[in-house]
Amino acid sequence: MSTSNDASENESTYFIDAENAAEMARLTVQDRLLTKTMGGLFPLQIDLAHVQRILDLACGPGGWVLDVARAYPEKQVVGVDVSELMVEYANAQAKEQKLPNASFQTMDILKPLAFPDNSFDLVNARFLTGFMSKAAWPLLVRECMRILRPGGIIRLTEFEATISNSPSAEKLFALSTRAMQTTGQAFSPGNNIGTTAMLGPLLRNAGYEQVQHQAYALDSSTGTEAHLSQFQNAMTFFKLLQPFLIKLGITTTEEVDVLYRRTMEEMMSADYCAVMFLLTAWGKKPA
Amino acid sequence: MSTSNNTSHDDTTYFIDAENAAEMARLMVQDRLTTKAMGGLLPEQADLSAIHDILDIACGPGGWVLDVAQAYPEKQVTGIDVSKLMIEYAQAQARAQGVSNASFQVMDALKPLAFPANAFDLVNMRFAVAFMPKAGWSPLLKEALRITRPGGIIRLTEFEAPVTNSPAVTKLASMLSRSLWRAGQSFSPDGQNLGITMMLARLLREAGCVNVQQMAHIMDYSIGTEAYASNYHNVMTLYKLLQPFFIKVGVTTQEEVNQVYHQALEEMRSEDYTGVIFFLTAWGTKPV
Repeated sequence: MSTSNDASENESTYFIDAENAAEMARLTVQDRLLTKTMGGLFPLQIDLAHVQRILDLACGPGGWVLDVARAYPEKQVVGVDVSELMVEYANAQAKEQKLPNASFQTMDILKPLAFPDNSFDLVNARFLTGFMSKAAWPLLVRECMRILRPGGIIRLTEFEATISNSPSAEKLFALSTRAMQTTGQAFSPGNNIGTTAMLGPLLRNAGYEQVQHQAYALDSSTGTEAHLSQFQNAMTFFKLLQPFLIKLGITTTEEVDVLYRRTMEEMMSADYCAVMFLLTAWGKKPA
Repeated sequence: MSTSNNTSHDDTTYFIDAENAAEMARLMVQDRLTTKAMGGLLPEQADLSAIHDILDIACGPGGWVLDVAQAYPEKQVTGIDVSKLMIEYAQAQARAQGVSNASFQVMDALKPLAFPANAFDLVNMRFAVAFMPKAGWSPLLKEALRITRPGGIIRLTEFEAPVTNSPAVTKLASMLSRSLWRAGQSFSPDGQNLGITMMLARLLREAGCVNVQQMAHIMDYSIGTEAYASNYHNVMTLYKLLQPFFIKVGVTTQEEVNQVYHQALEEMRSEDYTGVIFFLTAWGTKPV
């Protein structure tokens, strides 16, 4: 699936073909890096004692769900994603890794969620920015309120564009942000995507209580542990993103090809420095 | 003092007149907001038992120094700043508050520091992007290493432009990024970001620090938050005082910036206004 509206079988808004194996591999690597950057599967401040059933929205290939299921064999962990490919892969992984407490379903979270009221103790979602329109956020956060038990926790994690000293990478990041502004996915009119600034207000406006947050920085400069995987991540991401940028008319094939090649070189240079800021925010459904 | 070169006594690169009382008041508010958002004075330092002598470079009116001195009466805390006004104020505050373990000196961080080698256990510096030319980082950090004892810590905190849904606040922030870039104070290749956070770890390592680590923080000053009102006044003062800098480096005109400024104040009062600022603290150890 992709953002294009021209394919009849295709109505997902994810800006990269969601049934793409390269994207699945990219998400698997990104997942590990994220969990590591964030120092674990949950922020330390979240009390998991009363958390039995956990849902992960847009779980991709299921890395987080599987990790949680392994770390907490007594908890039930469910992952949903719009991509059949990813959900099949995740289900196969759960079988192979013998994790009977992890399960996966195909589900489009832009539609009402196929779960009963009060059925989860914690709903987790990371990196929805790729397919969420601004208008979709309040609806989803309200759906989560419905399926959470009173006292249950919602936890959202989003990112802003990477900040680097590479001229070409900066141009590519700016193009991606502009693409999101064009499609109505960016909350900020500037160089930021702006989702991080919305997480607290979204949760508070929906009626969640005790909203808290924690910021993280992912340093992917040359010489850091994350450098190579973020390089591969970025290169896959920008390759998969190219058709979308060209279709939106904000760049040409020639321009983006040149930028792409220069970005690869600059990201591999000895003095490449880059950091990406992340924000995780969580709140409680009133008891 | 100011960023302009039109006064003879003036050779600082600080982006606002450093002897301005409004700027001093603003820095005091900003200091409190920052310490709160970061969850403490030295939130990432698990063990302060080996730290006795602390230096704060570009301390402004001394809020952080005074808070540290009060929280840790057994430690000696020194603040330096290029501004006589701020240092005099900070000294008066230390006296008024009866804080005897805090002291302040006028000193230009862009020149060799008037301290002996191995004099401090922790050297702190926050928001140096406001006055630091790109080429100034390396000499200052080498100086910081010289005056830090082996095993001591050098700690830097910088921020990036706010993330907000206000077009006018975004425009003002962009003017700041582009102005700093034009003034040679940004590592961003094109000035679209403030472009300093991603360099902190590298700068510390290049200066000779080992075991460099980082921690991010965020300040949420969206409408309805505790920080909203203070930050509104902070932004109001900051962008009033920054206007001469913006105009001097040529990123805007007085007419344009006036218009954007007033629009920003209006947008910050709208009921759906949201904004956050990310901070990054990086710290490293001087090798033993």
